[in-house]
Amino acid sequence: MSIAIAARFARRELRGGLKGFTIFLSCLALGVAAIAAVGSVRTAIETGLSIEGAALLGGDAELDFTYRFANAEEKEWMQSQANAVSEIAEFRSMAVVDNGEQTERGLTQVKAVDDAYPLIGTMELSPAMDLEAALATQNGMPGAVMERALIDRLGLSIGDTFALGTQQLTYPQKSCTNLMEPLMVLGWGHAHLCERPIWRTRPCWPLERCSTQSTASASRQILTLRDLRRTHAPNFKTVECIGQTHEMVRPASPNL
Amino acid sequence: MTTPVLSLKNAMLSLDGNAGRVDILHGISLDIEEGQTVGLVGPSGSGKSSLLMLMGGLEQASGGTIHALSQDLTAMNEDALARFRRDNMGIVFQSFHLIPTMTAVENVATPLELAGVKDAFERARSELSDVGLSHRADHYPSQMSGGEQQRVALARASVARPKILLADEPTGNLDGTNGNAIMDLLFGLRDKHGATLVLVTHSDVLAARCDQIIRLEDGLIAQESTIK
Repeated sequence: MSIAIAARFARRELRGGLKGFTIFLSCLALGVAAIAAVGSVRTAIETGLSIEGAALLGGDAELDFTYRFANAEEKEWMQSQANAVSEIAEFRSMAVVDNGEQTERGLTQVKAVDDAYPLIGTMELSPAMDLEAALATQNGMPGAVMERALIDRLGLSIGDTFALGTQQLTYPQKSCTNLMEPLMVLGWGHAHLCERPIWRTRPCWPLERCSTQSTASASRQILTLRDLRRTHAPNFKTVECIGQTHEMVRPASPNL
Repeated sequence: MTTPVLSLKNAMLSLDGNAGRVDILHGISLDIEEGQTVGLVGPSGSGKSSLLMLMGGLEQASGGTIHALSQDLTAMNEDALARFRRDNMGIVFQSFHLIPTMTAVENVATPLELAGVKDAFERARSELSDVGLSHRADHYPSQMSGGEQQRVALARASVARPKILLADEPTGNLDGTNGNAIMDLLFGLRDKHGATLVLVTHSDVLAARCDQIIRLEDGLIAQESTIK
């Protein structure tokens, strides 16, 4: 077969093929658009985390310990590095509301915080009130703040009580409108807040938070991830950024 | 005595499949003279189409010899077989086998183009006119009915003036009216160009239009009869 005939046949095939090619081209365009959209969302999330990371995390950096609290040496190091340190314990539990006739249960992610929480940003509650007041002990029972979805599910109202394990709590707040760590809420479910002393002796996932008050007026040098790794590594088995290790340093911002 | 156009000596065909080896033709011997029309009939699975494929060099015989126009098809490679078919055979299939991306005239002109004929398109249009489709020359197969597609296939098979025409149930996909029209065209083209025609059919009525009828059963010739 000559080149001319081959080219002629190829042109005919291409001419007919372009009609059927429309579906392929459409799929290709759709695929490219989908990839571009995913990329855009990822970029938006990364940008948001970069800008709002500290507010979302409630500090400039987070040191994560699994099944234990930081020991004295580790706390001393954090105090030496940061302007402020907050300690949080997180664990999963079952919130139980017993109204006599029926018992409602809801799996939840409990977050026990200390007085320094949050190091950055503010906790906004509905109805508006201070977090300290919301968590204050009333009639011998500690307070708690609960996300609206869980409130609705358990059928709670302000002043009602519910149990976490054997601990009864009062519920003075209707909802928490500005959760400090929405990413954790997304990943782990509803978030609770309660005062740390209640949970201090329980097995949990403690979090130690450092804040350097990352402003130009801050007297202390801003703590960077590199600093954390360099200075922290000798004190811990592993120091990783958002890793799967049992002990890790988590920066508030990818740029930190 | 003239040399037969098609001559088969103990031609055998076996195919290997997942279920094992299947013997289709068990040794066919026959001679077809120039200008004859031969109808191959028999029940489904008797080997009619397979025998036609052997005659056209589209299947490789497992044993025996097949001569067409005095050339041994069993000794040819695929390229030589393709060239032989291009120059000497026209084949019509039950399911048309038109090239969907080409118009009717391009389909008909294809064997001429491949043979290097300069006036391929003029001859193709003339052939389409002979089958009554000059007004459909620039239509694609998908724009034509089954009967029209088969008429295009007939024109393609005969445009190069082949010495041998092979037709494998050319009316199998058509209704009675279109089927009869196709058969009239097929025999008309054969009469016009004087080709040797081998026709596979289930219809005894169609077979009766041929000079000779060969009945196959279980891969063997069960009966040969001459009509005229």
